[in-house]
Formats: sequence, structure tokens, C-alpha cells
Amino acid sequence: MEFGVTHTGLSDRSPVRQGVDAESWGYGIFWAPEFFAIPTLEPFAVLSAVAQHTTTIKLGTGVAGLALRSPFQLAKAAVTTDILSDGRLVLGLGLGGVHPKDLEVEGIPNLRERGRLSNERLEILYRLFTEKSVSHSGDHYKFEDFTLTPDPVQKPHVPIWVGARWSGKIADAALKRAGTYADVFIFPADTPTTLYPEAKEKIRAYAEAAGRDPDAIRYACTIWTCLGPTREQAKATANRVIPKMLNVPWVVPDNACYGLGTPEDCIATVEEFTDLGVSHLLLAPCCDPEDATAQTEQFGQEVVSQFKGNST
Amino acid sequence: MSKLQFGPLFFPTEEGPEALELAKMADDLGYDYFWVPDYVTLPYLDAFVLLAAAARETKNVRLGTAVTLAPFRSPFQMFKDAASVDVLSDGRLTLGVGIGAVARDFEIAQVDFRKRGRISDEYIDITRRLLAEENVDYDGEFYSFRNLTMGPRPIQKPVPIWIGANGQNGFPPGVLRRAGRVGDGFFPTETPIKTFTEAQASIHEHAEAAGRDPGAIGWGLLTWSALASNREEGVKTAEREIGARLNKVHTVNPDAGYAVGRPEDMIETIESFAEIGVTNFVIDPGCHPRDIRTLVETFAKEVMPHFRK
Repeated sequence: MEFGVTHTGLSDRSPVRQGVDAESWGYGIFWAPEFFAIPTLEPFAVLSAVAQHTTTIKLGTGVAGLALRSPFQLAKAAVTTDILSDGRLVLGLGLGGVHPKDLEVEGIPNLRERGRLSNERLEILYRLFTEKSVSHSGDHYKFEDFTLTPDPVQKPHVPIWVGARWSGKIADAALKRAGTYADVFIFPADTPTTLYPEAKEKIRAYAEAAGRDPDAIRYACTIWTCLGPTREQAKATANRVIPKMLNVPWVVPDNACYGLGTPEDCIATVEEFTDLGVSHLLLAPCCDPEDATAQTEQFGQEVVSQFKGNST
Repeated sequence: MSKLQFGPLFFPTEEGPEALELAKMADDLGYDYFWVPDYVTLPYLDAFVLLAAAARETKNVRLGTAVTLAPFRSPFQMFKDAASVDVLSDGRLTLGVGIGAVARDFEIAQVDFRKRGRISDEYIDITRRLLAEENVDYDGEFYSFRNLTMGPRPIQKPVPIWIGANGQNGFPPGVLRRAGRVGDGFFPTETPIKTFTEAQASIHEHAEAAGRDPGAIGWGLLTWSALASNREEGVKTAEREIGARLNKVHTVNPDAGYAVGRPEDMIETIESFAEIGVTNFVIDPGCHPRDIRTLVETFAKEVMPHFRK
């Protein structure tokens, strides 16, 4: 199992410092999210800055929003980060625009249009990475004979991770995007454990339909984490903190895996994820914000360290 | 004469680390700026991602785009890119912006070439306001929104925006209006002295019409530079190398601010533009990529000291 931390997950310290700490605490990927409506730094800029101060940790966009930017600009930002990090970029992609204002400012009229536009951009992006002289004719883009240069360091292309949202289900469109284009699918945090087999089967079917090897696709999941003296106490903290963070009513469900309690409790939860076929966990600390840095360090030293040597 | 500022422009390719080394070298040699360009289809790296990394390798040098192209990023994306570099460099960004000239960029990115002036005007206007203000209301042709505050908030208040353009055939009125209305500076390339002074007069008028202080506008020049035994040889080198870089035949008008030849020839070119108030010189290498380090080093040691006595 490999672990990743997201920079906004750790207080407001400088993202560069956070990346350096994440590497020293044993995490495998440092993730930078992308929003327009939230004051986060631009993810590729953050990651290329962190790259100058780290040597081994992978650098992921968690996730970059397809609805928010041009596929050509996205491809170029990705290649630049991969080159400046000597091949450490993980290109996490989602639709973007989780916050209604993200879409509003971009002038995208509705979620359906967001999906169509994003799908076309993902197709273009994938082809720019995997083919020379790409020609494309779609609803939003038409062009001929374009080759992306320079090439990324990683061959045949930078790894593409595709995320999804949990809205009582995982949208079939997200599974299709994953099967068609992704190296790794990122399950949303609240996916009930019983849904994993079905979602994976669908992704496999989409991969086969796209002529890809379904066995090559790997799985990640976002995990809410809160260390505490007991699982119950940590759960109480999560129930108090998450609704404030997301600005929606929230109760920790019984049917999804949350990393709550002592390090031993969390290790047991990580093992449940391993059994589900998940090989990377993206931490989402749900302790009190002022404790997030200390908890991420402790989680690194007492949980992550137990899973060294069998990372993805 | 106010203090002159100098900075090399570097075209970063797949040799990304080389660009960072050059940024560090510029910092160590006492340059004032390190500049990178921005294109869609030409094989150069993303300007802002590169500058974010360069920010970590340098301490004093200002980091600039020369130029980024307004039509190819939404103003929200441009805000994020600019504000992030400004934050990561602790307030060292200069946002040089142009409207784009490479037709292929527009063809690929599906932007109407004929509308690039209008698109750029609105995008630059929005970017400038989002960088400088909170709770922005905007009613435009392409975007309308209410009460928008974007973050992270930049360190500089405001981030300077310089307008770039090519003066080879004179400037279209739109460029001069844009520079007068929103530019903190104007820094064209390939511009003869006469064209430049005419542009200054026009930009002054536009600035006054917009209620801005024309005296606050900075003047710069992208000066193609190549070391050679004399001017004529330098012109030949520049024609060959610029053509190779832009992938087209390039004819040099040596009067258009070319710093080519021996260091004393370069000093002469710079002096002639300094006399009309140009203070910010972007050293745009018109030499073979393998000779850039020599150019940057020689310029710092044999040209810059002349202006720093």
C-alpha cells in the first residue's frame, strides 16, 4: 500500500514545506488539488516548486479539472511538471467544478455540458500523450495533425488517474472514463465496500471495449483519517469536523472504510482496503484542522511505515 | 537616465533543468529579470509552471512572461497561474501579455484569430481586476459574473502587467489602446526608434483618456541579441537562429533594437533606446541555443557594467 497527502489537508503552512515533510514522513505521493472558487494555488505550479525540494516523492494533481482548462494547456502544464520533476508527475483528473461557482465563472451552463466537454478534453489529452500527429473532430474541438512537444519524461505517458464523486452512487460516466483512459481509478471516500466488485467489473468491461488490458488498471481510494484514543472518540471528532469542512450535514457511515481511532485501528482499516484491491490511499484528515499536521506526521510514522515495501 | 534593468529570455524545451540553471545564473550574475515565453503549439514548456520552479532556485531576480498569450487561458486560469507564481516567488512576478501571432496556435486551440484583440482585451481586463481587487463584478462579451474573489491573493499589490507586441510593421491601434488603458508597462519586440516614440505618444494619450498617469507607464524592449565579430555577422546569426526557433524565414531589420555584434555594439543599441526612456531590456537570444550561456555571461560582464557606473 502506498499513501498520499493533499496539501490543503495540512493547515496553511507553505505547500513547499508540506511536500518536503510528506516525503520525509514516508508518503508516496504529494497531491495538489485544483479549484477556481477556493483559494488553492495552481496545482502544476505547486508541484513543480515542490519538485525542486524533494527527490523521490511522486507529485500528483488531485485532481485537475477537465472542465476548467484547455486540453492543450493542461497537456503542456503536465509535461512541464513531469520534466521539472524528472518523471514524478501523477496526472489526476476529474471534471472539476465541484463548487457551483467554478462552473459559473467558466460559463459552463450545466453539469451535462460539463461532462460532455470534459469527456472530449480527456480523449484529446489521452491521444496527445499516446499518439503522434493527432487529428480530432468533436463537438468542441476540430484540428488536424497536432503532435504534443516536448514529450514527458515518463513513457509511454504520464500516469493518468481518474477520480469520481460519491453522490449516493458512482456515475457510470466516471467508470467509463476510468476504463477507457485511466491507469488508476480513484474511488471516492464514501464508497460502500460492497460496491467495489461491481464498479471494478464495469471498469474492466469499459477497458476491454477500449482495447486496453483490464488487469493493468489499479485502484486508489480517498480515506478520511482521524487518530484518537479510541475509534468512537475519533468518529465523534469526524462527525463534528466533516460537516463544517464540507458545509453539508454529515454522519460517518457504517458501510464505508474510514481511518479512525488508534494507529492499530487505522492499520486494520488499511488492510481492509488492501483486501478490496486498493493499492493507494489519499489521506483526507478529518481531525480538528489545528491537529492535521501533527496527525499526518503521526500517521506517517505509525501507520504508513507498517506498509513499506509493498507499495504500488 | 533612470536605472536600466536587464534580463535574459530563455526558451525552455525538454531540457527543463537547463532553464532552471539559467534562471539561477541570471540571479547570480545580477540580472534584474528572468523571462520565458509561452506558446500552444511550439515545443516550449508552460511558462508559469516553469517560473514556479525557477522561483525556488532564485532569490532576487524578477520572474516574467515575455509574453504569455491572453487568448489561450481563461482569465480565471490566468489569475491562478499568475497569483500562484507571485505567491511562490514571494512577489517577484511580472506578467507580460500579448495577444498571440502564431496562426497555428489559434487553429489548434479553437480560438478565432480575427477576434484575438477583443478576446484579449476582455481577458486581460478580468485578470487584472481579479489580481488587484476582491468582490469583482464584471459584465463582458465573453464572461459576466458577480461578487467574485479569487485566491490565493497575490503578494504584490498589484502584480505588474506589461503589454508586449511586435513593432516590425508598426503597431495596430488596439495594442496602443490596450497598453494605455491597462499596461503598467509596454515592451515590444523588433521596434525601430521612430515607431517606438510614436507608440509612446499614442499610449500617453490613451492613458490620459483612461484617467491614468502616463508617467507611471514603464518602457521596455525585447532586444534580439547575438555576439559576433561585428554587426553584420550578428545580423546573419540572428536571422538564422530566430528563423530556426520560430520555424519560419525571419528577416532582421537591424534598426529595430537588435543588440548584435560586439559588446560595444550592444551598448550602442541600448543607449539609443535608453535615450527615449526605455529602461527594461529583455535580452532575447538570437544565437544558437548552445551559445546562450556565453551570451548571458558576456552581456552581464561587458555590457551591464557600462550602465551601472
